[in-house]
Amino acid sequence: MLRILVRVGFRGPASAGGIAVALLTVWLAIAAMAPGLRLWTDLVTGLSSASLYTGPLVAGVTAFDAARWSSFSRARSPFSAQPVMIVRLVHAVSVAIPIIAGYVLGVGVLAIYATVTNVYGNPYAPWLLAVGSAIVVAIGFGYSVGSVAGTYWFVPPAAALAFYAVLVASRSLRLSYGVISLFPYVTNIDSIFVEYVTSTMIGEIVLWVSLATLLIMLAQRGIRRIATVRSIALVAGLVAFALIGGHLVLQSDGQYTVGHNPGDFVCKTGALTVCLNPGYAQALPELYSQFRQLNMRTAGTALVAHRLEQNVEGVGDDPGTGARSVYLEQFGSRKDVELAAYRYVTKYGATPGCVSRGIEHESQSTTEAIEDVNAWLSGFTDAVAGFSNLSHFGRLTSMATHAGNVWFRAHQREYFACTLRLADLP
Amino acid sequence: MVEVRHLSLRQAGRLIHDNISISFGPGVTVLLGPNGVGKTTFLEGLLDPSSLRQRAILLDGRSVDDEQSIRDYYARVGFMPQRWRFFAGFTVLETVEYAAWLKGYRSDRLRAAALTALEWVGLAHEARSKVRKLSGGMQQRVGLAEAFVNDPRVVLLDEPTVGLDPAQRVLFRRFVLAKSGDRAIILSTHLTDDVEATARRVIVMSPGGIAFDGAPAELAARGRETRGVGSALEAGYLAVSGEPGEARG
Repeated sequence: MLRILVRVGFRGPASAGGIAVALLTVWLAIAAMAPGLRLWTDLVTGLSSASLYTGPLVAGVTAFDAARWSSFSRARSPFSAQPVMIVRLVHAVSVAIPIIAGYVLGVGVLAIYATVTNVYGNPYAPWLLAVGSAIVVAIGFGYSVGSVAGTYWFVPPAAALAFYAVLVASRSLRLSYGVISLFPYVTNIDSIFVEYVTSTMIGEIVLWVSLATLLIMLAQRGIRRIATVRSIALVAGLVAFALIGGHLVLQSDGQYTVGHNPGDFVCKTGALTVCLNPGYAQALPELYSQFRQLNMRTAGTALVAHRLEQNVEGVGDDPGTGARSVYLEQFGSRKDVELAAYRYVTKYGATPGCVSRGIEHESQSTTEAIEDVNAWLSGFTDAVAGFSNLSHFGRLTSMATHAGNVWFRAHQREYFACTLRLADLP
Repeated sequence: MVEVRHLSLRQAGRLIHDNISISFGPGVTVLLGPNGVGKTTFLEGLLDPSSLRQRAILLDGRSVDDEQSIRDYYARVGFMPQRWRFFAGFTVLETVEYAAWLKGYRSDRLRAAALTALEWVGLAHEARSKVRKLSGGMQQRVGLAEAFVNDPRVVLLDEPTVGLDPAQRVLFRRFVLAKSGDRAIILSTHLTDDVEATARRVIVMSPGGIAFDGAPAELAARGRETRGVGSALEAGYLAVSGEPGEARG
């Protein structure tokens, strides 16, 4: 019977819903790609954020389909030799299949796109399944609303709006990450420099699929039914699964990823060695050139970069022995490379000294002097864009490379100790 | 075949039938009675034993009183409601296949069962048509195919001839008669023509319970005054139901 209903489902509005899900999925995933880079992790991030739009859309479509079906079904299923819950589930699955097929189609199109355009990496299967199960819970919500509320014109848009409102509210209330992650909206950012917290994803999948099934089974209007031992056991089992899934999500506080350096690099070696993840390889020449310039200005000081390895900022920052970290998020313009150099000088330059001295000991003059130097060394002029007096910065940038290096070596003690003042600058 | 013992039925808290005991064997039994007397309520009570407070129904001598026997009962009963609803997305064949599935047929037998039922009602050639595109009379015949798709022991038809033109009514009556040999067909109607054409037995329901239960000829014989009345059967109906006007169902 499922085969027949699925065929009918593909002829109905669920099919249009599936196509819309596929289009949204592909569009938002490709739109999320970082400039200049081709990474699967960006596609997955976009795919995840699409659930804010695919969820409400799917809730509306399934509410419409369930309402359309409900009066026909109510006249028959109570007198069915098949258990009423099975009858409902079979129809709900037949509505869900074209929509899920839309999601699978979207992911398939992305996979083809990724192959053809040499996108680096692979998607993580539990993540994709978690995004898919967020759509499943939207189906369960819409189906139950449509079954109960009936065929009024406003039911499908109301179901979509209600679902959207719940997702937005879950983000705007001050809830813990664990509680926020119980809602079917995957917003986490995927990155090459992470390890996945699989238990959170599995927890969400179990929770959302169980919840969707429960909603479909329990939302019945005007149906006298025999509460069979089997159906009661099924409901109890689903409640247990939902609780286990929710517990897993809360236990990991909804955390999807932890910082991690996979150490998968391609390197450019010369005056220094710069190593980037293969997905970022096209940024290597510019980044190498930027750091060679920086090394010329910092020669003879502790700020010289010998071996740089791309890394994640903060937790999971784990460069190899003798290497330092470089953070490059995207490669859309020269600015991204300059920002990577700026991040380097703030991490390995004066900032640690400033932090150890304490912020209260740092004068405005010192702050501006350090920032002027950092911006000059890295070439990232945005760092001083808000300063009212750029005359010192201007004099730094107008110095020849050798003269600049002489000045920096002469003042490196003050720089690293965070006692440099504007008066010390040329 | 199907037997009812001490059946009481309520609707919205109001007692409609009290302590009815009756049995139905093979052949067509027609229920007559004024509007609101509870013919539909009675059929619905027969249709769904799980809705009854008392365990009052027996099928082929076996009590229908637990989960398994109720499911078996559903599998052996056919029903066509007064307002037969269809699903706009279904074809004729899919509608009847779905009914067969609800009656417990395995997936590999759905198509054959549905096509057989459609042949019975003369709609096999419309199997691939959308139900919504058929005329009202043809839609009624799809409902009839649905009621008979599981080759049921008991068939409950609630005013099945309403909306049919004379030719379709004749087809319907022939079909019902042909299928009544080995099953109980219980049919409520407003039309005494249906009684004359199909019934082996007629039951007249009244607010007090069952006013008449016997052969159509016996009902006709009760009619004392036939002047201004369509037929002897209608006169008999008026006499036993105590209705002052013309025969209404």
